[in-house]
Amino acid sequence: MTVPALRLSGLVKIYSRSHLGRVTKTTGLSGLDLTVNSGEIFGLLGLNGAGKTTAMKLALGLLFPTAGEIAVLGLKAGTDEAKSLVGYLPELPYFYPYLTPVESLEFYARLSGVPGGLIKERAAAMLEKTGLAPHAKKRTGEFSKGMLERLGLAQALVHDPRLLILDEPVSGLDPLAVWDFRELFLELNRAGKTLFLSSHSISEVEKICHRVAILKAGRLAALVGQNEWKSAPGGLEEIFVRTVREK
Amino acid sequence: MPVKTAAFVFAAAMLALAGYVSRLSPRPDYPQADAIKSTAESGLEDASLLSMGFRRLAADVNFIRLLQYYAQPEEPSGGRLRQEGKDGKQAKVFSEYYVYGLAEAPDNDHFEGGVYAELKTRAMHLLSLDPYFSYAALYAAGALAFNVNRPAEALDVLFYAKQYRPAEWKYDSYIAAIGYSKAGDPARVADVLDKAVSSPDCPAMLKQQAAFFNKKIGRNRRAYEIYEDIYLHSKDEFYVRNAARQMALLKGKPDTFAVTK
Amino acid sequence: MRTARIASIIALEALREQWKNRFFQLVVIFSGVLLYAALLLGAMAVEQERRVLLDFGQGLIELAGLASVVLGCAYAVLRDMETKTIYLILSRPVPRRAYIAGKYAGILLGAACAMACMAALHILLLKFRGAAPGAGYAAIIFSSWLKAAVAGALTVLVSLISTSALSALSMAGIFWTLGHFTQELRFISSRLSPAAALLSKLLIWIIPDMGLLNLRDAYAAASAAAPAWGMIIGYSAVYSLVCLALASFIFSRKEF
Repeated sequence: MTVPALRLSGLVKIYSRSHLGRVTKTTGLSGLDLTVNSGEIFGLLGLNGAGKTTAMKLALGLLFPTAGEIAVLGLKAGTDEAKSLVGYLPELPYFYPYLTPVESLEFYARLSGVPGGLIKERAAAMLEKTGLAPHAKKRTGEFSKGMLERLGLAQALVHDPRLLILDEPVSGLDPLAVWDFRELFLELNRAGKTLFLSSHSISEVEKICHRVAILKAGRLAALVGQNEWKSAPGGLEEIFVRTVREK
Repeated sequence: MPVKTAAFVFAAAMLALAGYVSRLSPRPDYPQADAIKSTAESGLEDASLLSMGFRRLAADVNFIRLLQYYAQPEEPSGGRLRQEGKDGKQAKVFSEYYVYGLAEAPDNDHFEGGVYAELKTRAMHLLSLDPYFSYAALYAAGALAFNVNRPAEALDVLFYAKQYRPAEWKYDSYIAAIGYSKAGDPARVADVLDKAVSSPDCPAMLKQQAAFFNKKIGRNRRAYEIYEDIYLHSKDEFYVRNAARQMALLKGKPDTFAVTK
Repeated sequence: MRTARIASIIALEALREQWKNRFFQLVVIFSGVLLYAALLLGAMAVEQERRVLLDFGQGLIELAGLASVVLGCAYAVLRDMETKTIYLILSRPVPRRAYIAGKYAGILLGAACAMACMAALHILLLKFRGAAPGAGYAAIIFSSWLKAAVAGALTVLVSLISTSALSALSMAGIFWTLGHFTQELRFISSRLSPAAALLSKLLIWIIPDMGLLNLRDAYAAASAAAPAWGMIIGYSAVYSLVCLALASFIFSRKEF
């Protein structure tokens, strides 16, 4: 039996903000249970504020859970061992503007522990894979949004991770870029990588995901398999709207 | 106790321990802030420079001001010197004409005019910032004792500086020279100043005074040697020009290069 | 070992950022121009030209190093947090203490390079004016760098506590000036009530002892013994390490 790529058990996250002595608490997740199997493409849907990004950041150790447990490929989330197996693409990837994409990728490859002899080779390969090779000499400060997303994906892949966590990877991209990304995701999955992605684009999720979780108010509202939304009259969109509107 | 609080307490304790141990380390002896003889205008500047650890720089700035103050020509009564130009309007004052009396007394290489009432105050201020600034102490004492004829103030400056540099023998030489000068013994003054002339950081003014006293008692050859030293090594072009002039005058005197038996 | 490796990667990146940052270059150029201006002051000091050139130049190098370190440390982590470049770093197997240590080390390294360049230029200017830098020159520049290092560590800590670069810069300035006045603070505390005196003494111990590191004054004083390098380096190291350890502790609990 293979180890799940990601297991969230009873996950609770309450944000606490204090301002001038007053403490405000906001619930990000309120008891989320979710398992992502190795080798699948798993989608995460939900309205704004449903807890999608919160769940991803908790898996990466950027946030700390108030309660519950998270395991990444059987390892405790947030540890260096777990992080070395994960590639992360944030919603809006930011890079040091004075670096070229090659310099950026080499920097992140070093941080991820890629052996010294392989760094240049990997960086060049990722630039080629994401279509950034023609822009290798430009500074990232001059990149467009689409180019930054491509570079974001390249840095997520440079250390050959087993699990990819992608936060709205196609948001704001032109149709050609969306097509390129979709093909790349499928290729990566065929190569054995697990993808855990969130999106507002239901049509995109439908095209590539094996399963989808719909979050609502920090909880798992529905877990939908590919067969289910393919057989539903309105497809995944109808299931989504019905789920989020339910009281 | 929560971990965070414990961590802060421990860190504060470590800093305090390091701070306590560091304070045991010996420090150079400088006047405390309340002993700085600031003037009304200089208080803020002194505090600012001291708070940034620029004690020596503060003394340097005030030394430059002292030089500029002393370079301004004054009348014997203490007023600012004025020179009328050909058109009757006030002309630009060139201190060299009056400091060295070039225009009126070619043989006068020794300025005896002016009051410079703030000279001691300025000197004490800069020495309280850096009491190890021996050049400034000697310069100010020399000007006070032999130029503006206020030996008591000169002694105050020298005794203050001596507290911090008791081994500085030039202070003792100058104190002795002032004593001999008051006693009307220029030969002894010349002897004492002569020793100070040979040290590398001796002010040109002190050398000039030594040369003057040697000339006064008829030791023209020695005076010539000292002027030559000023001419060759001093960076102050006023003293250099004066030295050149004096050398020319002394060359013309028959006994300057007479062979002594 | 791995922490040290990661810290060195971050440090080299921080050094590169310093070099490509226009401000850093401006500091070096500006300092070069002002060093030249020191020549004018030196001329005004006539026979004390060497002393004035030396003091002014060394003071300027210290200020430039301090500005470089304090500004770098105030913005180093906060900028990464605000621009979210930190996501791509901390989502990797990067220990948070290695990140803090690396940023700090890179900034100090950059300052050391800048100060070395300015010192070389200063020595050239001195030689141009027929003066020698004198005994203790390298020690004085090194002690200025240590002062900047201590101020920088404090700045990193305050920047993480307050999450404001302006607060960090202000606190650095306050502690820098108070650190030069510790003798006077002790004088004041001797005039206070016992409870207040104890509190002020604790404060004096916590304030960085810049007087200990101010070798410019120490070399000039006739009464001074040879610098106690063990104490100077040890104190700087302890103070900086404590600040960085606290900063790492705070940073380890930050969420992004």
